[in-house]
Amino acid sequence: MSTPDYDIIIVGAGVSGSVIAKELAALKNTRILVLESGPATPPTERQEYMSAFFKNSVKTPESPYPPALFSNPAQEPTPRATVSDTFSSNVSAGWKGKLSYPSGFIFDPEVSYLLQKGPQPFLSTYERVAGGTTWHWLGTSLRFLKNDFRMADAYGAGNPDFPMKNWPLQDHDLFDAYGRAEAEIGVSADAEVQEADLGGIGLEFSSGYNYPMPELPLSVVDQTVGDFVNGTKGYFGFDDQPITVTPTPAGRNSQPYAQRRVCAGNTNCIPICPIQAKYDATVTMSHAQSTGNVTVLAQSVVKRVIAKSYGAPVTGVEYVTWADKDGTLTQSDVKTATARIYVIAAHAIETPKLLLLSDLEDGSGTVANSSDQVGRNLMDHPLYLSWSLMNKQIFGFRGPLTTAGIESLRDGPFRADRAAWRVEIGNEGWNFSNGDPWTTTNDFISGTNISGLNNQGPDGAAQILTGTDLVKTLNDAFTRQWRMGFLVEQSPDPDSRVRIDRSLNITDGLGIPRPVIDYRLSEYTRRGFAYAEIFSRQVYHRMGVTNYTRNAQIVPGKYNQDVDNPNWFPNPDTEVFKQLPPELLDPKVCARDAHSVAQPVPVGFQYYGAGHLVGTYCMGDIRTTSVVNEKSRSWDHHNLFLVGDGVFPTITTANPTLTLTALAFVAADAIKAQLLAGE
Amino acid sequence: MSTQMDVFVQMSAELTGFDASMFAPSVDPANLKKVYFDFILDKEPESFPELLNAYAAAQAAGGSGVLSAAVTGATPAPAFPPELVRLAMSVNKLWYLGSWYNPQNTNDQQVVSEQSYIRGLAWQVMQSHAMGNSPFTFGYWAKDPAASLALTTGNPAADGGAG
Repeated sequence: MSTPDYDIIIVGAGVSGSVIAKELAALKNTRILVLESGPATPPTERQEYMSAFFKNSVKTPESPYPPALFSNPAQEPTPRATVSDTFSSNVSAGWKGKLSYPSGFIFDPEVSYLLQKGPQPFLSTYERVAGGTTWHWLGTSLRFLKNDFRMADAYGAGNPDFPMKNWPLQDHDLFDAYGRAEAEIGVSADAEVQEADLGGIGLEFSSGYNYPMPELPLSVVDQTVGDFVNGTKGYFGFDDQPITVTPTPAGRNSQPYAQRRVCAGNTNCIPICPIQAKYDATVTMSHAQSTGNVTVLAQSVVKRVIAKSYGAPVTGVEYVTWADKDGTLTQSDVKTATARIYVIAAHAIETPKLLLLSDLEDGSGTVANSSDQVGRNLMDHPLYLSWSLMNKQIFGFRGPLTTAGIESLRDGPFRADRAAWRVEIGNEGWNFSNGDPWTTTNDFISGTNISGLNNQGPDGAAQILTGTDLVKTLNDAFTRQWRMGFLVEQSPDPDSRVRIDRSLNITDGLGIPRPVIDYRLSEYTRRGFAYAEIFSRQVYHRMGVTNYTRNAQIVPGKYNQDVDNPNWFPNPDTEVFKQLPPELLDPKVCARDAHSVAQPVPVGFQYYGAGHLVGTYCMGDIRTTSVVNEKSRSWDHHNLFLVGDGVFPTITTANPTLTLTALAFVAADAIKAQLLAGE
Repeated sequence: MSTQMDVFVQMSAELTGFDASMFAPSVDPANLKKVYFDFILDKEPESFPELLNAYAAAQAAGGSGVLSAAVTGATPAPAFPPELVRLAMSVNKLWYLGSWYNPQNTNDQQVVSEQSYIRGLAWQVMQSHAMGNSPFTFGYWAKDPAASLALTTGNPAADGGAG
């Protein structure tokens, strides 16, 4: 057998690929090739990306990055999912039941890269550039709780329909790896504070451990919310569990760290930190490259992973390198690269896409998929946003996008029946929820009332304001806006999935079939939304404030025709609302419909994507029901590792980046051992 | 005799509620007033001069606030027909948001420049900074803003927290 070209080939230069490159590059004379599908990061990339962001009339997580929003994915070398793909303007009238695009997609396939079949749309997105999605991550770095790893044991006894699963490892198995991930990312938090607030629901650290940097100060928004809710209990459906506002551990510098600056509160972690006070994976890949052992080939898209059969090793990857000169896309001939160990680190949609496109040479299936689990159990944190005006000025739109959350209800016996959530407290007013400052400013200048705030004219009519009236009204609105974001734990479902359908003949600009998404939210998950709405009402009642949340059942679709909102689902538990005490049915505290009419018994709920793409090549104890083992190694090919949050068996209630980074360290250790053993 | 630019600045101050020194300072390297003047003239070569002329005439007649009264609907004025009122609203949004909203179809909008986004008055009216462009330092978010609304708008009548 000929000598392979490299010791390790890594597909994807995001955080998982970068951690593995850095860890393995520390071995003397290792030869590592990283194939990154998107552009490299030139020295001026941050300025270029900032400029694109400032000038973009659509401010979404993808605004700064290539390819441009609204470009046709059939003509792009590295299209990816974007929030703008899922705008209601890309939905045709009558999509429900009779999906109106060719082959039945929810969103126009000339705009939307993902071919979404529903029944619900998948709303989360990612980047295909060196550094990956950490370019636009928020920085939230929460550890998982004890029961997150053992949901079936903790809450599923005697219930054959319980949708949640155990992990093949426990919280204490990851203490060391979490510490390494927190050091690499540079997490600011105080372990004593975290343990004091969350010890009761299963957060634990190694004895004597503390984070690399002190916690970030709480915003005025957080402090005010805390004044109302800290130590309170009696929340509906949560027995006597008390709640508190806890500073969020964040991959954001509270001191100069790793030659990066301290956070200046640009309120722009998503889509881009202008000063790299927030960690991104280019930091780690730069370290890896400084060893001289790592070659990064950008604009190089892997089309196939080569293996003969299940049980046989991977023997190479086929890739093309693309160029875009004056708008003309070209690609090289297919090249093959070989290595001793292969790592696919392309996130939870591109990784299963690549695997499902990689036919085994003996015709028995596709790479790593003897379990038939590749692509299955696609999960997100479907997000419920709830927004109100505080009863005094709290000056949002300042500081990092978030500095605190309510973590207290992430675990409890209720998880036997319905999804848990954490509450992220936003520091960006109604930017995410209402598109501010644009929406409210437009309302008061033009006399519209999208925001629900412009109703102080005669008989509740909207007003048009100018001058000092405009200044005072906008100041009052913007300085009192705040929102909660509920990250609801979606249960795994094998039919919620990424798949390939070559018969559609719909490809990207390199001729690669685009992923089809079947996505669905279970009853268990949806019930979490009902309790999020009830919780919001209790908080607003305590504060004496008005709920301005809108759950839009009908939205303006293509050509401004009204369409059913794909991101809306019916209330799964209207009965529970009828049991609420009168103060929680007061229209003032209730979420509203699209026209700001309060709904004491909600007709349904609108959800957003959290940007957390999880679960399409899950880890497990058993090869027949999982794709990789607890070290992210393929059960089918001993020299193939699949890393990233695609390995999560369940999504839990915490943002995934810290845990996927910890798991990348675990995988790196296993790869190192395997290399040194000469396997 | 005031220039068209003077009229534009004076009208913008009336619409926005900001003192002209806040968006058109005497030392003005970004010179947004000129960028905007030229931009609007390019988009609306006929109605923009009409709006400025009507505004100048109303001012000369001692009618301070005639445009505002027409825009808000308090006192319709023949000098400011609906077409010019819509244009005035787009001018106001341009200063606040840095984006041009086509007066005939406000779904059609574009960011004029990086500086127009960064210097949008909406960020000042909320006593903050453009998202992605903080001039402040670590931890400022833990306290109320140092500058009052009157200071950030240059308008002594603007006191914050109306409700």
